[in-house]
Amino acid sequence: MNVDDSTTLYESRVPLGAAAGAIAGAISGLLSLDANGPDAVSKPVFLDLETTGLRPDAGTLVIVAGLGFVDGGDFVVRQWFLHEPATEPAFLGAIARLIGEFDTLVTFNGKCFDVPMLINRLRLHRLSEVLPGRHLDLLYPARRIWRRRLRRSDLSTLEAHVLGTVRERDVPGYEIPGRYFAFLHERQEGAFTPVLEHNQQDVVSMARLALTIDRFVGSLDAARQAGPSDLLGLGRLLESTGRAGRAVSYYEMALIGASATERADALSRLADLARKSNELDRAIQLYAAVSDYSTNQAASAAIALAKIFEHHTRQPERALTYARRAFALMGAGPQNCPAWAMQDVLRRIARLEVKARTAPPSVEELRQLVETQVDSP
Amino acid sequence: MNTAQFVEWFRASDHARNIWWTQSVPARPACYADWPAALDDRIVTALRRRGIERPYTHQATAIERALNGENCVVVTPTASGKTLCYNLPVLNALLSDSESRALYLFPTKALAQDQLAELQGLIDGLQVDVKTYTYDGDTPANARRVVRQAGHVVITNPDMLHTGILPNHTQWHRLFANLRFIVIDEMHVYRGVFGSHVANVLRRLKRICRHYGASPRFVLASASIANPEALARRLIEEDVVAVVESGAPVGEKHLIFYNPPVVNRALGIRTGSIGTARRLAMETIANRIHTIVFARSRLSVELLLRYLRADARQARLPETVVQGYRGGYLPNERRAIERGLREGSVLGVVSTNALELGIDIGSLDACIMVGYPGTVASTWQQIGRVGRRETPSLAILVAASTPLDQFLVGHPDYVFGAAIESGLINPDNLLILASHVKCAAFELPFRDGDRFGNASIDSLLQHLAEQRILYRSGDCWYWMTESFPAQEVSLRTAAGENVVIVDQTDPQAVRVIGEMDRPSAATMLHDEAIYLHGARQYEVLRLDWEEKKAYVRQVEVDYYTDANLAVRLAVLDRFVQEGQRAWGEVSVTFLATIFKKIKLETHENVGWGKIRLPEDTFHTSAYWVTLGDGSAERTPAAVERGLAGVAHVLANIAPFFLMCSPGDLGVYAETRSPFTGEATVFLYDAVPGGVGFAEKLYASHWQLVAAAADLVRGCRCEDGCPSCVGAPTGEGDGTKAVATELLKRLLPVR
Repeated sequence: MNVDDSTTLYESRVPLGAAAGAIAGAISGLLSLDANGPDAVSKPVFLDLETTGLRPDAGTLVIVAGLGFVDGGDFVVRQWFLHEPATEPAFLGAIARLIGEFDTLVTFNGKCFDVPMLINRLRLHRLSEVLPGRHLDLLYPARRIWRRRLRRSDLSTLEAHVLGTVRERDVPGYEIPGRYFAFLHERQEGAFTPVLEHNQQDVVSMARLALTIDRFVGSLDAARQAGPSDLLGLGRLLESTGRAGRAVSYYEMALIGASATERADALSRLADLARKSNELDRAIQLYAAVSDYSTNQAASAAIALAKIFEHHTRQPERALTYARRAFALMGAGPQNCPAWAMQDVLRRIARLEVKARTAPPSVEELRQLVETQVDSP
Repeated sequence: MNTAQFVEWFRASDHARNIWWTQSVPARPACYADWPAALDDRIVTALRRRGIERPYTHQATAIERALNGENCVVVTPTASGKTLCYNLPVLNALLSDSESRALYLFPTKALAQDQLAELQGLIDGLQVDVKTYTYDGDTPANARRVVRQAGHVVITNPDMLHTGILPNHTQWHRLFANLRFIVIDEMHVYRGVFGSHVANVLRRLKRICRHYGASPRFVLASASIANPEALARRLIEEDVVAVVESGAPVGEKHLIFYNPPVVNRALGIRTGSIGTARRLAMETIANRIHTIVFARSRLSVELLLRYLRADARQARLPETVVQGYRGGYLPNERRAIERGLREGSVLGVVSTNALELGIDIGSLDACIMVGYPGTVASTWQQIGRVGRRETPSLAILVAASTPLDQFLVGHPDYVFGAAIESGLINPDNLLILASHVKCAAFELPFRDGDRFGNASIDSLLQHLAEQRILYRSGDCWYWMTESFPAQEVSLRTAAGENVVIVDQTDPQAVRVIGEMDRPSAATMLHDEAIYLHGARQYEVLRLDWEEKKAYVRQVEVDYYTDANLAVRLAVLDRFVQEGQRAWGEVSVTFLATIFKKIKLETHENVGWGKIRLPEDTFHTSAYWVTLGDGSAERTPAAVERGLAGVAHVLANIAPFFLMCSPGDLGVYAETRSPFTGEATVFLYDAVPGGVGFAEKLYASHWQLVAAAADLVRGCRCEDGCPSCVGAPTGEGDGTKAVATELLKRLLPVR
């Protein structure tokens, strides 16, 4: 720990061993999940801010900035603390200068919080707002993966339930502004130290989270340890970034040891992917299997089947059977089905009833047919 | 009958005996000038294409001044083409530099919408890429980013600037860094409390502009007042030139002062102004003369609306030909009425002064003012709402029986002579100033020795730091709490937030139907009050003072309610005293006590109830006059009544000199004040901290007492009436005579 002359600076080194070297690769991997990050990342920097408020308006200060980066075999967390508001320009300048040495910013919810906060202060002091062009916000992949399993997707929940660490004496976020104001008036460093620890922990956890996600995405074997629910989430993440092929293997893996609803989920995803890649027989099999596990998913599976039979295999009678089943299931499901979805099915049934007849339809029926034509083959 | 025939008939009819004064203002032709040389040719061409060949003289002068980099205030009548005076300099700046920005401030959202349409028309004619947006509470969240980034001209209101734009100035940095013009229309509205707040919002705006390196020029526009230049200078705290000679043409206008007949000579009671206005309005409406009736309060608007709709039914007209229009209506209700007026399906509108501002409501022919609108500027604005170039128009002022109305109906020169009323503001009112210093500190830290506009704020910063609201670090004063100060400051009222009115008539569809400021709510939305809205009656089931909600349900009753407010006053400090007049600081305590139920039509008292609301105390500034000890010949009770009479006259005449409404001024009289030891009448600023009324009254003391004495002397009642010293108490002993004696003590000894 040492003290800078303009703003207070703290530095700590966490030996991560081999993992330290893997961080840049992990960030590259995660960024390449997005279409806009094809270049390899050589120097990522993790950023987490503590502020005096939740909205980036002119009266909200950044009071602590924690930056994390790899230096040799260590993961370094460098923290600036605004111990005197009057030193804010130097404080911001130092932060911006260090960030400027890196090519990729990594945050957790930084798109909505940290970056607007920092830009607000930089603009207010008319300082250059140049930040790295690449920004990986870990909140989005994390939410996709763990939304099913965890009720909240804040960093400390993920720490506890994904990384398996529990904070000893953490400061709740809402206490931070008050502790800062108290520090300014009383100058009791001790009361504010936990905030710095909280911030340091956040930065380290971000790095560990990035490594974890990357490991799960990169290795099905590693992901298997996480269980069916996380595998489903990872499959979703892969699907959303255009890797349907890999997603299939995650969904298939998820079937092992899955609960009934997890199984229904995995089967639905697999069925959708099969339909999209035009493997109709496989899709039909999978959809049919869904209804064995969950009435909830069964309705949409039945609709999917009705669509396949109506438009692809042109078997209106079978389509009608599934459309009717879907309608019956919609009434029975535990969740209220939206009215528009029920209406959709009713229109489909009406249309299929006409199509399913052997005799050619009457003019009136044809008119109805045209009117109710909602989806094209 | 058309309007001209109607006027001729009216003057010859039975009404003639009630016409106390009439004047026809002849039509005046236009005075044109050349376009200023500095104006871009493309603008001139585009205007010619729109049929505007040459500017009026006042437009040319104002545009030239603004292009020359001077601040200017344009003071010309309604419909004289004021908007070109600021739109052209703004467009000129945009044509020479497409990064330029302009900010327009209008007091209401409706005016902003109107202005947007007008400016867009000009821009379309120019075929340039100038983006104009309104930014207010109605702007959808997803559109706001576009406005912030790309808006060349942003049209907003002071409230939005205060809570939405300035506190987020980093998101508006492009606007502030490139701001060339700030346009403030309807400047005369920014007086009193509202004006004092707005002056401080402008201090904040200029501070932020300076921070981003911009020094915008101001173009202001105002109705006629005595001190446009002074008010503008006080608002923007910069030099400003006034352009006052209008070159716009006006059609012939017939002005009439109508004093309803006396029905009880002894008591000096006249036929009510509302009933009279109702009869006159039905005569014009029945003749298909598009009429606007201006009433002074929301209550009168609602009453007149009910009456006129009943009359319309009798005349076999659809009820909807008469519409109400006032501040409490929600935006979409107002838009529909404005449309009806333009399209002609509405023949009559009953309005408060919400319509007096420059909203386009199409052409109207007759204006009926129920009582003196409160200021000469408002009177002219209301008269200005009617009239077309080619046909004559009519404006009738129906005098109420209040002392001020009766004084003015006998002294029309006060209204139609030279403007003598001034817009007063006090940006340095400590409460208002402190509120905005907080907001400003939130927006940008202050430095040691910084001034806030012209105000020195060193001790205020020190005080806020002691409160731990600010924190001094180095030579900077930083905002250091979690709260958002702009949210806690309403520009329209001195204190507190509005009470929301919740309609519970249908438990399945509970809805908000309006809102009201807290002081008014204490007397209009107390438990059991009858609240009128949209010509419907609502009974207040419960007023939740803490939560600021009034729960109402629709009812059909034949009465309305009127509440009493009990007041106590104590002098805290005397700033100056000269002879019998003084000016100082006082503390005032209020308590809403009881309400009366008053029958519609007959106005008889049919019941009463208690109001249970907490007491409210504030400090403000007051002007007072001392009238010596009692009188040897009079009983103490008679002196007390006489003193109340003097208070009544003074309180009713004073607003005329202050450009304020009677409600902005409080009155309090004591036969033996503990502070002065004499009979004393206090007139105080009804706003905590005051906005300068008391000081101005102290300065206008001689005019005020002369006018008061004049009024009482000239009144033809026997022993007092509502039009002079107040209605006689029935105890029959010379209230008017005592009041006259007391007033004589105030007059200079000759």
